[in-house]
Amino acid sequence: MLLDKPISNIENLIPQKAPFVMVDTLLGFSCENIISSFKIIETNIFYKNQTLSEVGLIENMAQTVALHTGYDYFLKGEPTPMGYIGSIKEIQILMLPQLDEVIITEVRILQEFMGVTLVEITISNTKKKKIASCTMKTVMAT
Amino acid sequence: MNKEVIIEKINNFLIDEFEVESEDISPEANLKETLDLDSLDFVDLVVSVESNFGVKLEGEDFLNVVLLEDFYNLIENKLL
Repeated sequence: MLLDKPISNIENLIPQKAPFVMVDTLLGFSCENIISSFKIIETNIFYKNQTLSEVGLIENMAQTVALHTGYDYFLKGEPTPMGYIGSIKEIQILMLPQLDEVIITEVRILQEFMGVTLVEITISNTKKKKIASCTMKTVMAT
Repeated sequence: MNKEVIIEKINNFLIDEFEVESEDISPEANLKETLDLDSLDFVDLVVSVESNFGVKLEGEDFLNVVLLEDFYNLIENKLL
């Protein structure tokens, strides 16, 4: 599932644009999974009190789901679709990542039905310590 | 799996996972209204069906499903 070479030029694979981009590298991809990474920098709009805020973490989760869809469409030669968060459940935020920390976000696709994707998401740090998790429904815009 | 077992399994997950009151469950009940389903909730129903019966539902499967009876029949037909 891990890519032979991580893809760092991902801005064309997601609909979000700077400064609202909360993923920076695609590490792994399959039909049912995706892994991204993201480095916390001082100029991030969700960087507050020396950490990435909860909102930033949630946006990182949603954008990793968007990256799965965007990369899938890229492989099919189709443009990146728009989408939005439908709902978030069972969210746990155990800590906030700090400056220069790299977070690893893993998404597992549980079900796709009529444009709604149900996913399970876990964010951890490079030491494999869990930072946050949730289940999320995302919706493709038509 | 006979239809009685199918109905019992469906009713059980409707009660457990969708918080439907057992007295609200009847074959004549409207599926969408009884479960208070919005467009996002259908994916949960699909997950429940897949985990309980091992069958994958598609959007077009729901075209003729209005009542719980229709839903029971849908699952029964999927299991044939």
